[in-house]
Amino acid sequence: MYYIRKLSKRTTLSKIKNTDNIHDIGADILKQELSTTNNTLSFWKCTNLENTKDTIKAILLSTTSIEASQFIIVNDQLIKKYEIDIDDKVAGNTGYKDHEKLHVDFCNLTYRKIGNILELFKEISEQTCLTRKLEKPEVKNYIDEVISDNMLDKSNIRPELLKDIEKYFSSKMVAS
Amino acid sequence: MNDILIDKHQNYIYYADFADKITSSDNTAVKVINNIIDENQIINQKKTKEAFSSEIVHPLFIYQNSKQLKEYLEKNDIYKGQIVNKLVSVLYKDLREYTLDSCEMSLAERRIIDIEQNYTMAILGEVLQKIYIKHFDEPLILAGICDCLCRFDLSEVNPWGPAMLAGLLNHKSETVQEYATLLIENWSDISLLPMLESIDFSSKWLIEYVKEVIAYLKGNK
Repeated sequence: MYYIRKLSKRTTLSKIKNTDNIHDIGADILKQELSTTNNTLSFWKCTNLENTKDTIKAILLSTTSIEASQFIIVNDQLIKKYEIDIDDKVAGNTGYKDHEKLHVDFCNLTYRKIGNILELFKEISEQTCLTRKLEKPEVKNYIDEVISDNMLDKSNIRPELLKDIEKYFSSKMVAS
Repeated sequence: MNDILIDKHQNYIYYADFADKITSSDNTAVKVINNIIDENQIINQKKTKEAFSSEIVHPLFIYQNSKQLKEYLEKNDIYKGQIVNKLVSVLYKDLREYTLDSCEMSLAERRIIDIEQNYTMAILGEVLQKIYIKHFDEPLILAGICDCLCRFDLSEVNPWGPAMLAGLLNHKSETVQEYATLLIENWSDISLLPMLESIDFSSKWLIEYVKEVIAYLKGNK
């Protein structure tokens, strides 16, 4: 199994990659990228690296805007290595119909484990296959596919994202 | 009366010299619901002008003609100036709350969406340019502006968007340079490449990110 998370800022990965010692990373990144709720961090799962599209669509439709996006992908080996617990009981909020259950939480996080996750990010930061990025036109294409497949669930989209979607895909939205 | 009133989701904003004309017959404030427009009910510009020159404007008129109201205000420099100044004030206040460590949507971004929806992109451009000039020495304000503008396409923010870019990329603050580059990546337009290529960045991580964006823009030719 693989677990995908969208980073808040595209530049974060470059900052992590170019920091020799992870303890020297700027503190802002901790709050920006590793801000927890109930000691959990949201990820979305997929079964293999060749089929990440549905998972990424679910993530994109859980955000607030259509923008260039950086993803990090964590595999089971890394989960084991960094002693991360996973909870898949809480469904995610996404506008991609029937894909809410792809959501998982990295749970029971502590100060030490947040450090572990940062170390994990550092380890995968050099691996292209685990650090996918999508430029804005590609993000639009993904959303376009969801609309075309009639898989958009407007009721589960954050209002700011819905405004963007209506702006770019107004003709399709009327038809759907 | 010093102010005029415009309804923004029940939050009233007041502007000078106009409220007398936007009151109902019983002198209560009239709500201008900019988001709800029935195109069939919109009457022509001439009638709008007549209505604004009369002493009393019925609430229903404002309700039905919010688009005309916006156009009227935009064409009238006095009112437009007042609106822009007021929006500068409210948006700047929100931008001061902007932080680099938040993973949530900022108040400023919500405000910018609101301004774009309830007024026009041209008004938003004027507001942002005023803030940009007046607060050029406040990196967080500029980073906040860049962050908020990522959600728009270049075609939407032309010509004022790119006009601000050179100053943002050349800013002494690395944070502003970073956020200006994020903006260029999201605007995804080859015409911005020379601007990006002409800047010397200092940090290794930023140089690497800028290289990625340059490669993307070149591949996008």
